[in-house]
Amino acid sequence: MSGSERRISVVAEDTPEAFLRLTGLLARRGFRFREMSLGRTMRPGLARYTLVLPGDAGTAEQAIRQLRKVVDVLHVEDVTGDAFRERWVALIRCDLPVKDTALLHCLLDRTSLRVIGEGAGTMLLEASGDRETVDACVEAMSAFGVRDVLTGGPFIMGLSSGEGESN
Amino acid sequence: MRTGCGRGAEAVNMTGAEILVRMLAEQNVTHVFGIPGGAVIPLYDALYDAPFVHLLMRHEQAAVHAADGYARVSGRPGVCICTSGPGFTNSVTGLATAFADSVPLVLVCGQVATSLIGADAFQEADVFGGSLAVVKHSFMIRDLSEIAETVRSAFGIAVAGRPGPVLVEFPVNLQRESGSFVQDAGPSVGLHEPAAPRYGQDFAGCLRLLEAAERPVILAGGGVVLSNAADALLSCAEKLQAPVATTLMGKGSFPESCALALGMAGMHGTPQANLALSEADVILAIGARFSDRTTGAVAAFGRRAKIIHIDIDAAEMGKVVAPHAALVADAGRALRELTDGLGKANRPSWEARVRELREHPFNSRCEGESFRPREIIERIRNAFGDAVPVVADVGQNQMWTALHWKAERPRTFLTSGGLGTMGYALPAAIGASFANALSPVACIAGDGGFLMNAQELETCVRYAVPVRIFVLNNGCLGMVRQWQELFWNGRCSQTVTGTPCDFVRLAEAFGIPGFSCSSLRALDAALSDVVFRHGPVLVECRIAQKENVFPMVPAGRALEDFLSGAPGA
Repeated sequence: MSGSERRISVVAEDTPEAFLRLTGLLARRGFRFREMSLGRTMRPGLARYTLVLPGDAGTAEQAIRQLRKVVDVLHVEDVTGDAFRERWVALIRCDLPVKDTALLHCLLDRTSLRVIGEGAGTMLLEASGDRETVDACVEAMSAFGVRDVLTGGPFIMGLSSGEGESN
Repeated sequence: MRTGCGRGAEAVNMTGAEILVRMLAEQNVTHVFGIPGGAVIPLYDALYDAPFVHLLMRHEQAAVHAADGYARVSGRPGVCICTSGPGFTNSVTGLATAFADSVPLVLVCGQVATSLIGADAFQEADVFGGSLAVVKHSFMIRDLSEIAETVRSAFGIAVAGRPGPVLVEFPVNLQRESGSFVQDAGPSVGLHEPAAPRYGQDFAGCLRLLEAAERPVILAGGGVVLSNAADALLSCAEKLQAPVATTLMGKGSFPESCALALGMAGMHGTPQANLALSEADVILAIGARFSDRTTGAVAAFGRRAKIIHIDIDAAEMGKVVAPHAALVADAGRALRELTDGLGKANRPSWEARVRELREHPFNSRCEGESFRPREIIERIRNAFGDAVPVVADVGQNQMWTALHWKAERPRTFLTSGGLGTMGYALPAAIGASFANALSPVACIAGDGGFLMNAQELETCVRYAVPVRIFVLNNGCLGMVRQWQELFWNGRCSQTVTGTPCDFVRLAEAFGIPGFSCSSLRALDAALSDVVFRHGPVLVECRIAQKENVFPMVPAGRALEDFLSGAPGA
C-alpha cells in the first residue's frame, strides 16, 4: 500500500445533500481525493463512503476533523493499514474473436479475470481484488484490443469490528 | 402528516407558515430581520400576528448583517427572513460573513413551490447549492410534519459547539398548506452526537507548559467572546501574570485598560502585542484560529515559543500551526480549569519587559495633519464610554478603530473580521441596537464601505434606531490605496475618488441630522450634540486622503517586522 495516500471511511446520511456537503467540503479545502466509492451497509438510510486521499496521516487527520463537522456525518476514520482489507473492481470490454486464446485461457485460469458476457464482436470481462491485482488484470488485457475499461473502488472493511461499523 | 400524540397538547389546524412562526416563538425569538417577497407572502401573513417583532430592512444582505449584529451583542441566535431567488442570493454575503466569524444565525429562506423546483421557475435559485459553502448546515422543509423538528434543529445547530449560520429553505406551497399540528415537547434535535475526540485532550500538557513558562503570552480570539469567558480569561491572565494580546475577533474579551492588555495582534496589531508574541516562550492561544492576518508569516510565528492551542473546534488543531499542547474544549471551561490548576506566578523580568513594551509609542500620523484618525476614534470612544457597542466597517477605518477604540467589555466591539465585508457596519449596528432594547450604538465606517449599504439609513429613520454613524471620509478606498502606495509603486488604480457625495445632505435626505467635521474642535461640538439625540445621526469626519494605518506588518513578513510609518517618510 502506498505510503503517500490514506484511506478514509465516512459513514453519513444516504442523501444527495450529504454527498454534496462531503465532496464540496473536500474540494473547498483542497483535499483532492483520488478515488471515492459509495456503498450501503446494514443500516438503512446511511451510506459509507471510502476515499483515497493523497498525503500523509497528518493530512488525512485534518480532512477527518473537517469531515466530522458535517452535520450529516456520523463517523469518520482512517482505514489505512494491515487491519483492513480492500477490494476494487474493473470491467473490461475487448474485441472478439480473441487472437491469442491460449494466453486468454491462461489469464482466466490464473487471475480473477472472468468473462461476464458477450456482445456483437466484443466481450465483457470482470476483475476484482486488491488494487494491484485489478491493475495487473487490466494491463494484461491490453494485449486483446481493449475498447473500454471502468475501474471502481475501493471497498474497505476491517478484519475486526470497529466503532465505524454499520451497526 | 404526523399528527403526533402530544401528551396534553391539543391538535390544531395550522398552515405551514403559522407552524413556523409558532416554532420561532418557541425558541424565544424577539426580533427577526427581513424583506418580504413572492415566495414568502404566506409566511409574512403569519408574521402579521406573530408574538415577536419583524424589522423590515432595505436589502437582504443588510437583513442578515442586522441579525448578525443582534446575535453578536445578545449572544443569542439572530433570525432573518428572505424570499427565494434574488432574496436568497443577496443574503449570501451576509451568511458568509456570519460563517467566517462563527455567528449563530437562522435564515428562513423562501423557495418556489415544490412542484416547480428544478423547472427554472420565476425567482427560483439553487438555495442549497448556493449556500453550501457559507452555512454550518441547511435544511429544506419537504412536509408540514418536518417544520417543528427542523426549526428546533436549526437553532440547536446554530449555537452548538462552534456557532454558525443555519439556513431553512421553505417552499411557498408548504407555507400555505394546512394540517393538524401538535406542539409537543419534542426533544428531537436531529444532531448526531459527535464522538469524544481522541486527540486534543492534553490538559496536563497545557498546564505543564504554562507552569514552566518564563515569558508567557495569551492570545485570545473570538471564541472567548462567544463562550462568555471574559471573566475567566481575566482570572487566568492575572494568576499566570501573562499579558494578553487579542485577535481582531477577540477584542472585548479582555479589558484593554488592564495593565496586562497588549491590544490587538497581527498585520495592524500594536507593537507591544506583536513584539510580546515574538519574544514569548509560551503562547496560549485560546478561541483563536491563527488567521493569516493574525500570525504574519506562519513559519516565523511564535518561533521562540511552545504553543498551546485551545479551541472548541477540533478541526482548528494543527490546521495552520502545529501546537505543542492541544485542548479541544470550550474556552470558559478550559480557562477556569487551567486557572484552578495553576500556581500563582512570579516573573519579574518578563513583567518588566511587558511594562516596557506597553510604553512603545505608535500612531498612524500624517505630519502636519491635526485631524487624525487616532484622535477621532479616541474622542468618539470617550464620548460614548465603554458600554456602548461600536461596529467598525472594513478597511482603514476598521483598523484604526481596532487600534484606538479601547474595548473593555465583551460584545462591545463588532466587525466583519474573517470575511472582511465592506458595508457590514450600518446594518449590523441596527441589529446591535435592537439587541440592547434600542440603545445607542456607534458605527464607524469609511466613505467606501458606508456607501455599500447606505440604503439602511431609511431603516434607521423608520424605527428611530439610535445609531451614531461616523463616516471617516478620505475620498478613497483607503486600505487598497495604502497597499498600492506601499507595494504597487503608488499606482492608485481605481481607488481615489474624491469625496463621493455630500454626506450631510445624504443624511438629511433620509431625515437624519448630519454634521460634517474637519477639526477635533468641530468633532467635539458634534459629539456633545450627538450623544443626547434619540434617533440616528450621521457625522462625517473629513480626514486626509494620505492617512495610512500603521503599524503594518507587510504580507508574508514576521510579526516583529512591522512598519511604523511609510518607508522614507
